[in-house]
Amino acid sequence: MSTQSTPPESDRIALLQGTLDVLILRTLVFGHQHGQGIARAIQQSSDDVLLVDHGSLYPALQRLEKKGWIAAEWGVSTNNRRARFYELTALGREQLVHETDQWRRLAAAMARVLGLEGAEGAP
Amino acid sequence: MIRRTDRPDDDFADEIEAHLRLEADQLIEEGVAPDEAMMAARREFGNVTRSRERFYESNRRMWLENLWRDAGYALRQMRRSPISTATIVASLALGIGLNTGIFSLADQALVRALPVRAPEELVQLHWDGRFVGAGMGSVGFGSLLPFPLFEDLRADNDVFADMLARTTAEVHLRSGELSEAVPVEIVSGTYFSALGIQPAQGRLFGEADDQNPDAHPLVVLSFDYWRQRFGGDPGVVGTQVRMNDHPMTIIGVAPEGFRGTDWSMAPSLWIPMAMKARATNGWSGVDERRARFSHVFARLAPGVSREHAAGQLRSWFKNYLRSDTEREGWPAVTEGQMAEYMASELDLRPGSQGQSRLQREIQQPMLILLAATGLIFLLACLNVANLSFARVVAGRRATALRSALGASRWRIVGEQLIESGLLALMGCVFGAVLAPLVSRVVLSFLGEGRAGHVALDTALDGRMLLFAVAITGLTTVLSGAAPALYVASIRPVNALKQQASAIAAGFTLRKTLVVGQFVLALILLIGAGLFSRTLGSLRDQGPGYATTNLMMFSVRPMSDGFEREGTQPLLRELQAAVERVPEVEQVGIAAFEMLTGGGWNNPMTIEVDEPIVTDHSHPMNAVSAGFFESLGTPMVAGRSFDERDHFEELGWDLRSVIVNQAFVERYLSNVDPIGARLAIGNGPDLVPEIQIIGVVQSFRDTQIRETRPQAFFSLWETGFTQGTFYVRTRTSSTAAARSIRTAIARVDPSVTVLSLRTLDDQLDRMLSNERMLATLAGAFAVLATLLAMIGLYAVLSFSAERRTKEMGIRLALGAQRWAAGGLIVREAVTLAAVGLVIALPAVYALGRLVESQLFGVEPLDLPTFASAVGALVVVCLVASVFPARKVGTMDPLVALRSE
Repeated sequence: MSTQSTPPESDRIALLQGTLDVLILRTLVFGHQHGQGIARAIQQSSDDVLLVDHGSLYPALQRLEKKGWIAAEWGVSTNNRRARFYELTALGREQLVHETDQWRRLAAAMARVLGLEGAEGAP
Repeated sequence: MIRRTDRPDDDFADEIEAHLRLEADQLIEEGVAPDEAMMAARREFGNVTRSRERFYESNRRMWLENLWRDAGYALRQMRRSPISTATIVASLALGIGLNTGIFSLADQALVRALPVRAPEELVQLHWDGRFVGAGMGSVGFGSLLPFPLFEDLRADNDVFADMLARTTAEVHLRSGELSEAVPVEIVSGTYFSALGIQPAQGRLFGEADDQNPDAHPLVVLSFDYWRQRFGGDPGVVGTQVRMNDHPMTIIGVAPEGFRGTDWSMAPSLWIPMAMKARATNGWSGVDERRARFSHVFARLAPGVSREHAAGQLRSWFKNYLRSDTEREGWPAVTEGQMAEYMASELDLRPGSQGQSRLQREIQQPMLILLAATGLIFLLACLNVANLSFARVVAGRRATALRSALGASRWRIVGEQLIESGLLALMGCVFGAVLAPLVSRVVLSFLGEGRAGHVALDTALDGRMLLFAVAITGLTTVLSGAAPALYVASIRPVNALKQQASAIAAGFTLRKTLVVGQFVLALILLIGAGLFSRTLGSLRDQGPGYATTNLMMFSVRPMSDGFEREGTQPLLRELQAAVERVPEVEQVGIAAFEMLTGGGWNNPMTIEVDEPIVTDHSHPMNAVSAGFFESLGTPMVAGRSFDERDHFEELGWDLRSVIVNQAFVERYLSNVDPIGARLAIGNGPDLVPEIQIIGVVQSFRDTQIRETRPQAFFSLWETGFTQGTFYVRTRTSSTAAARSIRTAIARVDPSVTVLSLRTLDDQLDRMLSNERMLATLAGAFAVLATLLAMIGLYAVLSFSAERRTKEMGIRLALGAQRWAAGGLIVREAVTLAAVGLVIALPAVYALGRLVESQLFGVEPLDLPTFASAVGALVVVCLVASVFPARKVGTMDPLVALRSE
């Protein structure tokens, strides 16, 4: 992936296909945000572990917008820059709930299979 | 066509720009130097162009856009090589057009259901077993039933929702001044309601219109006849016409597209069964259980299967048979005949197609034609594949370049498929134009020589189009797959370097295609040869008498309004009048027209020492004095008919018979046939009383392929009221035709002269199937040869080009020019030889399949094979002339410098 200087590179994880969508939705729960802000927020909230490839961010946003999960309009950022702001639609909110649930189950299942903590009744 | 989201590309570019600024701002905030911040932001973002590309692609139906572009590209490619494009499109149009045209006819003639309500519910009743007729013996096939059986069963069954009976005849219809002979379908009152037919005008028959004999002078016109004869005038409903000189009222017009239950005899009108006597020379027969002339159809009651119905009818039919034998007029039969009669079954056969005399007869020729067009189609596909291949190979460098510049393999293959598809589509359009013409040509063969009209459509219809489109899809796959696979295998590096290996594989494939073309062309050539030899031998053999300067025509006096008693005197008067025409040498009359494929057949009982019954029904005819003399068939023994063989009153009083040589050889080989006696029929109480007075040289009648035992009775000792005249003329027949018409009109102007034509013409009609096969197979063979030649030429040209360098070296080293050119010819001959080796077993096997259609020629006919191979050699030479010349005349220096 792209080169990064600040955090230890080996600890960063490139996003899996499909995960970016959930993260975008999740980020937008806290209110509307522009693309750059979303990328930053994901990175920060994952303690800089998750790396958002900016190149795939915008196609993802485009995709979500088409699905009607997020809506967008041009606005002005806090530092007076023109930017395109995204917000969650009702449909998007529903989708987030659904996907979050899926992720929980997937994570739990993975953990169980891999024999990690929180895996109840692991063999 | 291309749907965009509301968001333009620029807007997206703006957003990315905004992102980069925001990121730069933040980086500055985090302490990065302002002049480096923008750079860092860009670095972080990655490939901006790729991102925009992805946005662009997500925004469109890319495939549609690609399709559009590829189609444009393909069209440009086609314009660049118009000859190859035209050849491809023409091949495809031929393949598709021929197949669609013939398929459409075969579909209508052999497969398609009648255009009636729920045709799948219809069944046709069939008498399986022995039928016992009146003293005359049993005539006809199992599909014909006595009309009373229909009436009995209709009154007494619970498995049919409805039933109908029908028969056909030809009548003279006069309206205004014009009188013409038209086919009529004579139907029970239940006919239209059972089929679920609604009128286009007026009304149709109901049961009330078919009650009492001769009491319902009503006519329903067919839609086609109404249009053609009455200009589609609704006003004709309620007006009168004269059918066989009897006034009848038009009550309605049948709907468009409905042409009765027999496509080989589409009626111009329908009349009720109660009026049958008016259409069939005064004989009704609707009450006779010993005569059968009706086809009977039934509509299964809801929920009743054909098997169930047949099972239910079994005991009913046994009762019918038993009570039939107890009826008055039941003829004496032998024990064996009785047992066979009682074992008869009433079979229910699917009736959705109606019934057709022609169907069985043309089934095999049709299937042969279908197979032949299938071969042509395959050949066309191979040709197209071959030519397309030449195109992609020629364009391989461009393809490689595009591939090297980043076009995905799928894009390139897709492009190739689109090109094939476009070509196929153009072929389909031209093919769809060609198809009705093909149908018309085939129909012109089927239609002639049949009484009545063949109700097959040649217009382009939905089913035909559907077939054309399906076959076009198949073409695209068959002809487009090989080039597409080749394109997919192009490695940019190899192709750009012009490496031989990049084209070698493709070349082998192309050679294979050409061999395939040769095989198909050979099969068609040999097939055509066999069929034309068959036609030739049938024509050479002829019917057994000279057909040149022999004319025929028919009269049916009762249809012209003559009384029964007046018919035979009129026939005699006409014979005398025609004999007086200066151009005429001899005239004879026969009750039944010859060389039509139909006639009068009966078993016979012959008595020499003790009675023997003939093992088959044999064709018979009733003829006048002068008949054999007109044909020019000499008497082998005894005498011909003359004035002695004449019974004053009209009626059946057979005293003398003339049999042919084949009859004598079969039944009377050990005795003197003259004076032997025979009777018509095979009942045990028959007393043979008709004396054989002569033996005539055999000639062929109903079966042109074989000579069969035949018996001829004296026309004036029968009750026949109609006749076909055979006129031997001194001059060319056409000149005599006018004089004959004049002579007849002078006797009585109301006599209608039917089918006045030469016997050559009649023979041609009889041979319509053979002529159709010979003509069409010949045409197909020529096409196939042409296609194969084009394919071979394309491959040889390519080969010549590919070997330019090699040839240059050969020439430079002193090879003779003709030897270099000879290499190309040798290549052609090798391909042809391989094709020959593969084709021969196939031809042998196929020859066996069509053997029943052949005559006077073996499936392995040496001259035919030799000429086919000869044609192939010519093809090889013609196709290799130009490539070989090119090789032979090239300058070695130029050749060596090539590539």
